[in-house]
Amino acid sequence: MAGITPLSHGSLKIKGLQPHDAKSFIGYVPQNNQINWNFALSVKQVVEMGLINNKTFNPFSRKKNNHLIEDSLSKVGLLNRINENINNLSGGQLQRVLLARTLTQGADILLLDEAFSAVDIGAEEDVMKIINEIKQDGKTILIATHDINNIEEKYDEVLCLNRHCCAFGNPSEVLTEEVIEEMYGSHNQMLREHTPGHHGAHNGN
Amino acid sequence: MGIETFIEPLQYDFMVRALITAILSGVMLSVLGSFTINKNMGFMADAMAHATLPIIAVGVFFGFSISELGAPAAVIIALLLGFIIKNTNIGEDTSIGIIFSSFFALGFVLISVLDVSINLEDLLFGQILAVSSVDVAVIFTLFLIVLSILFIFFKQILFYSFDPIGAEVRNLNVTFLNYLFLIILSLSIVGSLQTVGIVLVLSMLLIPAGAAKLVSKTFTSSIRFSALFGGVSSVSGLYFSYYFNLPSGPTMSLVASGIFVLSFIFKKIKVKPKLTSP
Repeated sequence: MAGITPLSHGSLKIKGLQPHDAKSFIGYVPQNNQINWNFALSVKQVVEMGLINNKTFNPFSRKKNNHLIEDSLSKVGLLNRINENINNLSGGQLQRVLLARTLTQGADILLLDEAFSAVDIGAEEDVMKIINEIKQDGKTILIATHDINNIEEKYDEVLCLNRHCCAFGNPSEVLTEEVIEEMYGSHNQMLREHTPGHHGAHNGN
Repeated sequence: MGIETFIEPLQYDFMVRALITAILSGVMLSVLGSFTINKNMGFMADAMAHATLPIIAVGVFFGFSISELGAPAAVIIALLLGFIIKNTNIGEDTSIGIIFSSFFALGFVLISVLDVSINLEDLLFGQILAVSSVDVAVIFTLFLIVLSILFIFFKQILFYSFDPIGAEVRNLNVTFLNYLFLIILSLSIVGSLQTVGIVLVLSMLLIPAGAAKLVSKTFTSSIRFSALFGGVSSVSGLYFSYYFNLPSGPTMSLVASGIFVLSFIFKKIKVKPKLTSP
């Protein structure tokens, strides 16, 4: 979806465009371990990255963007930490900074990759609260996660994947025991039941 | 020790040229060093320096000087290293190690086979006192090119270095940025071979940047400190070598090491109260 891995088969359109051409709509929050934390950047520098594109050449073009950065940070409740070094933040705060980056970018679709893998439960709730507020602004938010606890409360819709689509729909309806087994079961078992055109228990049709 | 201590060596033209070269390469290397240490690219940088040997051997055979060969050699090496790392899956360290040692070996063989007259000691440890006016002009041009590119692409390179996948999703041209950084790193390394040589170029790249990281809180301020430390170690190293009749390249490296030790002590002293307070 982020337009960085070529499709193996099938097709994918975002707002009618190929993923590669739709990158500007996508705000991406990477997994924690994909970021090089050696760089002791400020919160502001990270949030500002949402505004960087191929035409960003002038390191001094800051002034007019300041209000955008401040707006985004106040939405995630970290405006008071704007000049803080990111190395001093907790896992949950870092996720909020990365969320603010997608807000600065103005992306309509947010893609969160394992957003909660490095945060404690309290911080996860804070991030979820912010995500729900962002949702009210009419943005689409997609979260990849392995955690199925309280999934009904958190998400409007779920797409269960284990090398294929196990189920899709309202979490309280589609998350049957069968689907969970299919999702977390062994690939051997899954592939035995998997035939072309039939994707297991609930394929969302 | 008065002002004449600083002025006296400058009555010699070769010392003036050496001083200019020392400042330019010291600052250029240490600024790029800040990126290099945070990107864990020290080994890569070492390989870049060593891989120049066969290119220098062939170039000198055809009558070019080392500084004339610098820029083309740097670009070739950067592209080659970048290409091989991207297109093999044997691991970055292994690819770098293979290129590093093969090229270095090839260099020695070529020097012997082509029977070129290269003073290996100068090449390995630098011979800053022998730089010509052309060498100074070359390094000044490289200095301007490298720092302008870094200035213009600073935010893009920083984004890519900090969050490569995020930068790719943001549609930055990451392949271009990757090679661009490799090329300016290679240019600064190969351009500085005359100053500190193949073996010691790494010390001017990594040590000031490492020391700067110890004493500064943010990445941006670490670049400033690194440039300062790099400049100071080059210049004072050169003066020490003049007055105490020491080899210039190694003396510059040792001053940088001294600054690193001081930064380390400074950091320990500064952090201590925090550890003891409740």
